[in-house]
Amino acid sequence: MRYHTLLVGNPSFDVALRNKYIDAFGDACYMSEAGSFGCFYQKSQDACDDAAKIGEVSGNAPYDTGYMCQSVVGTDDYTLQIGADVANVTYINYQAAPRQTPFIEVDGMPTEVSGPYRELTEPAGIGPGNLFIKTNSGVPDGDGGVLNQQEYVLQVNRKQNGGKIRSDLAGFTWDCDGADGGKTKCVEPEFLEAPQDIGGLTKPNVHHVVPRKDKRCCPWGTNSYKNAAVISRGLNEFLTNNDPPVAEVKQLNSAKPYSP
Amino acid sequence: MIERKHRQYGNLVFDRDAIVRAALRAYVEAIAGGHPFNRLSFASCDEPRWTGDLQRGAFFNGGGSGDYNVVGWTEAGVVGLAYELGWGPIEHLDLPVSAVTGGPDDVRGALPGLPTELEPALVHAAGMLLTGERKRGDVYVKEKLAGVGFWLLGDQVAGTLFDDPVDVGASQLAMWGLLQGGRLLPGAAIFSNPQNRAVVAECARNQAPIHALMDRVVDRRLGGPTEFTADEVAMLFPTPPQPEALLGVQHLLQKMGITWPGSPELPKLPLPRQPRINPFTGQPMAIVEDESLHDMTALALAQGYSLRRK
Repeated sequence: MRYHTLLVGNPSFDVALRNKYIDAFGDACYMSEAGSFGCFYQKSQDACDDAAKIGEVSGNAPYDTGYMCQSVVGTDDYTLQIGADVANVTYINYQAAPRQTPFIEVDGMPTEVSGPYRELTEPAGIGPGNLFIKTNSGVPDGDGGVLNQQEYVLQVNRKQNGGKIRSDLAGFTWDCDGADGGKTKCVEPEFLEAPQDIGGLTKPNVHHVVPRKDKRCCPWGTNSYKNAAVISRGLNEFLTNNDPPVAEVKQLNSAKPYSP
Repeated sequence: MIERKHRQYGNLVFDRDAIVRAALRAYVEAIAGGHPFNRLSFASCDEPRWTGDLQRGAFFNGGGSGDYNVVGWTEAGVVGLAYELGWGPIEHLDLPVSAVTGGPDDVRGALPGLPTELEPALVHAAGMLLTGERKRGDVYVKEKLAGVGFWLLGDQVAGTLFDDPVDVGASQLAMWGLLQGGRLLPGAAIFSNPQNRAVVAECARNQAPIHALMDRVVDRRLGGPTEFTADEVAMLFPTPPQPEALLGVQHLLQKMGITWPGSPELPKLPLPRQPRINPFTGQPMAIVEDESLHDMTALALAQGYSLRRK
């Protein structure tokens, strides 16, 4: 449940207006998987602050300012007066936030993430926000039990790389700290669990390419094998839960698939 | 011990001694039951780290995909902290960039009302948290990474675990209030779909002898340093591990006072030459002088890293 503000105009179809809202309100605003655009907030105060700016941001007459949000009795909703008339209000509704579209814009095209584990058979229980480690892959572990998805992905990777784990984003670069305290380029190594790396920076992580949670902390990326990539812990921490970089999606979607 | 109703996770029971016992159990379980030995499906921990002892210490419980939780304790009580990728103090606890210290104060916002008696437990727990770099404008800061927490002192328990309606790791911490048979359950045992939970339960039934063995060893250790029996070693490792992996396991368990029959003196670990080289930049890294280098080397060996080096 998140606080939803009422936008002016039709930003679901008007790209220029949509971009105005995104520029002004940032991560709160997004396209849903159903194709609608909206702004949702974790905190009511943030929603109220931004609601007061909607008139101006949309290019219409600015709302009157200086009013406080008023709670709607018996609900978690709020109203905000935006003109001299007390009946002139906008609404902030506490409601379920739709899932952000998992398609990533690559070269102007909404693109599905389809990484190197796309040919593995999906188990039951695929859904937004789910962890690979919490889901049974259905694959026996050879010792009377079963592998979870995380173990299975790592096993598949190891088997097809001669017992080593290969990063699915080998060669990916990002800005990081250099030895002199300044910034330098970090490069994802080809093979993880590097012999020199006793600190665990190259510990293999099974990474959700579309992050498990979006910027509003709502479920987003799924535990589908299409959304999995084996990368170092260091790179996983860098990518954190930001929108996947285009370079990442391109590299993973073009990678040769692992076979089961 | 205190029971408290959580709006999302139901009745949670927190007990200082039970949490420390479960942390030790999870540590042993991850080392002897996880990769490459695979003696347990759905182990409660993927990446274990331990510091201190049963009176004062901390346990890091890594999930292998960027999320983790930590519990730190003293005789007085427990502090628990959890992190989900992207939801640290700046992002979720409203910590101003200017207030980031890279120390325990970064995560204090997850522990409102923390009693002064638990400050040492906070220091233990925060010491195990990973550090993340965040850029705001032109400013880079390094914050301790946790977005939710709880504290336990006698029959008082509180923290954002109970107050924050947004889950940024709360389900990880709830597991410490849902211990079963003295064991920290894997998250999949509770927070997954019914079919999945049934598989986890079935695996636990099939692997009951190994679970029972781990319980016996942990219970003995709670009374003081203990040794595996020869039968226990044979049961844990039906196929003898590679020597380096075995050495890693032995060092990790010896640290906790659990040794092989006869408590043989262990060969020293082949610690890496310092300064180590950053695997991403090729540049030398800071010299490590604390126990973490020993522990990380042992864990790497236990998980079979060095075997692949050859």
